[in-house]
Amino acid sequence: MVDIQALIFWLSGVFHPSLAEVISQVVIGKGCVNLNFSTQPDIIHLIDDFALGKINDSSFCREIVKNVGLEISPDELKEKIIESIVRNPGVIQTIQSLPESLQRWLIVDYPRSWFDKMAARLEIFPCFSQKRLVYLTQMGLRTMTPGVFDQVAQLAKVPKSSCLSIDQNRKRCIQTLRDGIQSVIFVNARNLEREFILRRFIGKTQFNHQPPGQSLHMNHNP
Amino acid sequence: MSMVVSKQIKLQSDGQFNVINITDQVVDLVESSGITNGQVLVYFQHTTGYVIIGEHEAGIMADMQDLLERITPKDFPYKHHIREVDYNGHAHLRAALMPTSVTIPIIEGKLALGSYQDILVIDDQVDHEPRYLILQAMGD
Repeated sequence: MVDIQALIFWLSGVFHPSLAEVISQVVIGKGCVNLNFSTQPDIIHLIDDFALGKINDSSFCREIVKNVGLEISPDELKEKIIESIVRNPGVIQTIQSLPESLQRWLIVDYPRSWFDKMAARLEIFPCFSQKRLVYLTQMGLRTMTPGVFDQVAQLAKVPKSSCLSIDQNRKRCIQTLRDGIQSVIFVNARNLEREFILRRFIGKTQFNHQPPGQSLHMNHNP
Repeated sequence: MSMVVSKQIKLQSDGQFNVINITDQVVDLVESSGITNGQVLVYFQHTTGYVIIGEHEAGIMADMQDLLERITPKDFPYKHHIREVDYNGHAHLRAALMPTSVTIPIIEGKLALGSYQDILVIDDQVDHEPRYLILQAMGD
């Protein structure tokens, strides 16, 4: 098994529902059960440009307002989005169970100003050192991958093959894998913990997340 | 007493082997249905996608995409394209080979999925369209 030395977590989608899902809840008022907002292409491109720092938050919110025909100001939308971002359950606990020998890096896919408002609420800093935060908006990248991993691997002083990305974005995960970096599709904290156990980062006794809505007798091998 | 609870789910998808994990939505339906023992059917209402039960792991998804591309490549002169209406012959063939629906037991009010099993919808359509699924829970 390849020796993984650095885990690289994406903020949006892992620590909290993806920005697309949050915007969906704010804007449309429905959960993702009925509308998978995250794949509407124009909005996705906007979110990607925003994450890369190609557009600022005012332009981003203005375009969202225009795109979905909202009757609120861009500033109001911005505040609503930020206040609606809440932690995914169990993630902090799962990350904190990792050994200190594994470097933990966080890709912040928001402007610094947004992140600073959310960091305490999301309890980022018990999990990550300030020195291991990477602000995508400040990196000058044209595309997210593989550039961000090149830079993180350099900062971490490890080869890319020793990095593991944890990402909710399924297509980006598959592309990351094709770029030579192992990746985990984040579904929920329980699945993430299971993956960490499979990779022997943590021991089985720490496997205490119960699958939601699933029978207790179903602990099979794959 | 037997019950049948049905629900249609709408997914916005950009296709192109888009994998959507709907396990939580199915769990929600089962839990809200009140059914203690029975089955839930997950049925994809299109001819360019499919539903599988599998481990939602990036490597498996990449392998599946590669396998399907080997046996039903996107760039191929499919006879379906002759009429020049849509160019998604590969998606139709994949949907014919893969399951349109899956059925999962409900036991003691819970979905009887194994530890590594998720319910995944894979949409191979070539454009951005909403996709519809029927969830139907049946039982006592």
